[in-house]
Amino acid sequence: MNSLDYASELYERSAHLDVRVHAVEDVELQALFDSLRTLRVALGELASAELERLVGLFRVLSWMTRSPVLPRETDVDFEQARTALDFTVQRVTLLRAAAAAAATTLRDGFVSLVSLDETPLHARFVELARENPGAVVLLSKSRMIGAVEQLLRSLGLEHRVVHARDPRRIPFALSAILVGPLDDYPSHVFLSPRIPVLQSLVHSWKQVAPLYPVLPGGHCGTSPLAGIRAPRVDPAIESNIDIEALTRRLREDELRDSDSPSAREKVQARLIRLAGDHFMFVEAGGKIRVFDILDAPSTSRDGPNRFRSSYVDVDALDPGMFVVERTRGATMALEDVGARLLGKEDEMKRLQASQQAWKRALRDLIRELGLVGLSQLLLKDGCASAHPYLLHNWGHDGTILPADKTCLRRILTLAGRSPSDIETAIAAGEAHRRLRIRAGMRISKLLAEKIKHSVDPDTLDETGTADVPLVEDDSRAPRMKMLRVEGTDADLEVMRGQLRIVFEGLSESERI
Amino acid sequence: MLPDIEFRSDEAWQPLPQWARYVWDLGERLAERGEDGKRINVALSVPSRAFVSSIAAAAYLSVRAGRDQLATPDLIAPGTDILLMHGSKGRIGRVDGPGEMTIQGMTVRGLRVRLEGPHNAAQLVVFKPGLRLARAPRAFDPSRCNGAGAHLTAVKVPRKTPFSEVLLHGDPHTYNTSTVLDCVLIGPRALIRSELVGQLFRVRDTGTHGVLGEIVRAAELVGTSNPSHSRIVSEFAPRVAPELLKPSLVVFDGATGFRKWRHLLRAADWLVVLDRSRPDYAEAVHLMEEEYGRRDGEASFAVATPPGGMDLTVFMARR
Repeated sequence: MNSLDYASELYERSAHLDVRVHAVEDVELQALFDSLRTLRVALGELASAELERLVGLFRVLSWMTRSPVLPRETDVDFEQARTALDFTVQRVTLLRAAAAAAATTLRDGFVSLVSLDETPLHARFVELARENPGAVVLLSKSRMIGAVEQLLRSLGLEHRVVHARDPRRIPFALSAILVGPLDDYPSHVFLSPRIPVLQSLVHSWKQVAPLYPVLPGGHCGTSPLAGIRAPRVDPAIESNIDIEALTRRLREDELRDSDSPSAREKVQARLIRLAGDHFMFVEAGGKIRVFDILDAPSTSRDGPNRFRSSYVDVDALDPGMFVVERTRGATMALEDVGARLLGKEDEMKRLQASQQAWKRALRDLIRELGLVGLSQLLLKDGCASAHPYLLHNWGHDGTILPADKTCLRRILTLAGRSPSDIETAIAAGEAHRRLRIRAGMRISKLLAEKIKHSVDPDTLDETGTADVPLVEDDSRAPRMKMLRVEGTDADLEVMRGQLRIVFEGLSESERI
Repeated sequence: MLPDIEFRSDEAWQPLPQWARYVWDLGERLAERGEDGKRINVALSVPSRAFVSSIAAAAYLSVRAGRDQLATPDLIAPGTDILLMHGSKGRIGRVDGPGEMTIQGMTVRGLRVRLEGPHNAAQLVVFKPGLRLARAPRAFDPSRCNGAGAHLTAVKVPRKTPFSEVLLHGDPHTYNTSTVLDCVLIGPRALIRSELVGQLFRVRDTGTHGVLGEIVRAAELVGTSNPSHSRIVSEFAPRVAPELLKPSLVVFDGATGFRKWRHLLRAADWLVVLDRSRPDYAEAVHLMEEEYGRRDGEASFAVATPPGGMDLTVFMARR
């Protein structure tokens, strides 16, 4: 092609660039990114802002290490510096607490993610590739090219996969599929486009418009720049999956399921400082169970003891009160112990067997069709909550019964179960849920009783902390940690799953 | 006004695309603007740098060629006062009429002129390298004609270039035989050279064809011993020669030269071509923002909306 023709083609493509953004919903991954962001902000502030505030003080201290004479005249207000130092210690602790909570979420979430074979991004990419057989696949990272080529080959597709960095390597084609955020791609892909129709596949929370340099005070003859700055989801493209409805349903599902409250739901939380440099988030504006140590034993339903248990508003939490951590332990162990305490071991075993049976059927289907394949099949059948991650969670032991019974019925029908079997499994799941709630309440009550009778109030008053297992010398047994409140801190936004979990703050040596 | 120009592509002639016509028009407007003591900055953001600087420089020089020139020498009326420039020297004279002389067996046409000065009071002016005719700044004074007799040496007859004759304003003969630094192009030298000599253009009405290099007449193309009106400097050259620092127009083809030498070339008007496919595009835009922050007024001429795919900014600055 003549270079004038070539340039003319570029002007033409530049003036009529069509960027279509396909948003892919992935709630699990999004939650992990939120935690990562919290961690990054917290650690970043630890490293810079807090130290900067104390520069003046460091200067004086530095002077003191070099001179035998104390600095009599200095621009540092020592009283103010002391206040700043106090504030810094508090702030650093707070940030550290947020960082620790985020790191825990990251660790747990990451473990569940890595066991996945397919992701929503993968599914949408395959779909797009099939819909656009002549499209070029543009990638922002060269190391991914081999794997994507292999994937396409395995699907019998022959798309050309190109690294976007070098404009000379980008062929003149009619359309391209871009995977990942737009701002990962070099600007020439959009500003000097070799390909006029760009289909961008990006996670829904990553829809940040990239900013491209524009001449100051310029007369713009390029129409696509405005289009790029305001990417939007093409509703027609996503019509087969109603992301909004799916998200809403997912949220409702989680909220309805009392056994597994929405761990990722954002809540306003207050950080409370506990004895032994421990911290805990509690829901701001909510109520919390506290224990007070009485001077003399009193008689309660649990017999004479020096503890008084009550529920107080979080705003009314005072130093000296004792709070307890959320009951924690292995799920199956909690169920077994709880059932034994309730005398319903046989019933629990029967219900657990029924649960395992439908979960096995689900796992077999996932193995056969793939997580995304099964999800697509169910979505087309009208099961709006059949998100791949939700299906993945249902296959785990922790979920008793999906809230969307229609979806479960469809899954079990696909697995070849008869309608009566299906209704029996659902009824068993509901009974299982009720039994587990009762077991949890029983365990909690027993642990509270054990605290009252086995913990020495004087020792507790001295140490400020006690860890009470329901069964001694059993690490899997349910346990309750009790800690003294030493103060409250600022409110933060955290995930519900982070509430009422005790974590450690900074050690003395880590403080400034 | 650009005549109907076509370019050669795959054994066929095709009309000049809209973006190229726009660039040509912009180059002409730059050359037409009057002197107001300020410098004009024009920046173009384009998807590909190809041919933008070459076309703009050719358009600029095609108009610039007629600047300070009288009409075609044949048409200069007897009695017109002129300034005959040779290098940096100028002499005032009065046209007596057309004339001819034979040099090395060739008949050469010229003007019979009486000049002020100690010698050659009357001579036949034949256009030769380094010679330019301009309007006289004052009236011719016959009392200052002290010399006598005609005198001509080493006349060189330039090759005829019909293509440039159609496009150049003023007298092409004068343009082709004089050396003035009107334009400096700073950019990828090999690419600019190939655009200037490697692409054929044609004036549709007359059928004459040629290359942009015939108009741009860069010393790097015609040789430094021949008359030239521009220079091409590589963006990677270690320095810009001092004699190249005061052209009328600098065309920065790409961000590299702009970044390196814009501070040296503030005496000239600027045309900055920014290729959006280049990795240094963003940095060049930031530099242009700095320049824009120091602007001294808006564009001195009306700017048409650029064609699709092109962005343009025009503003004035202090020299």
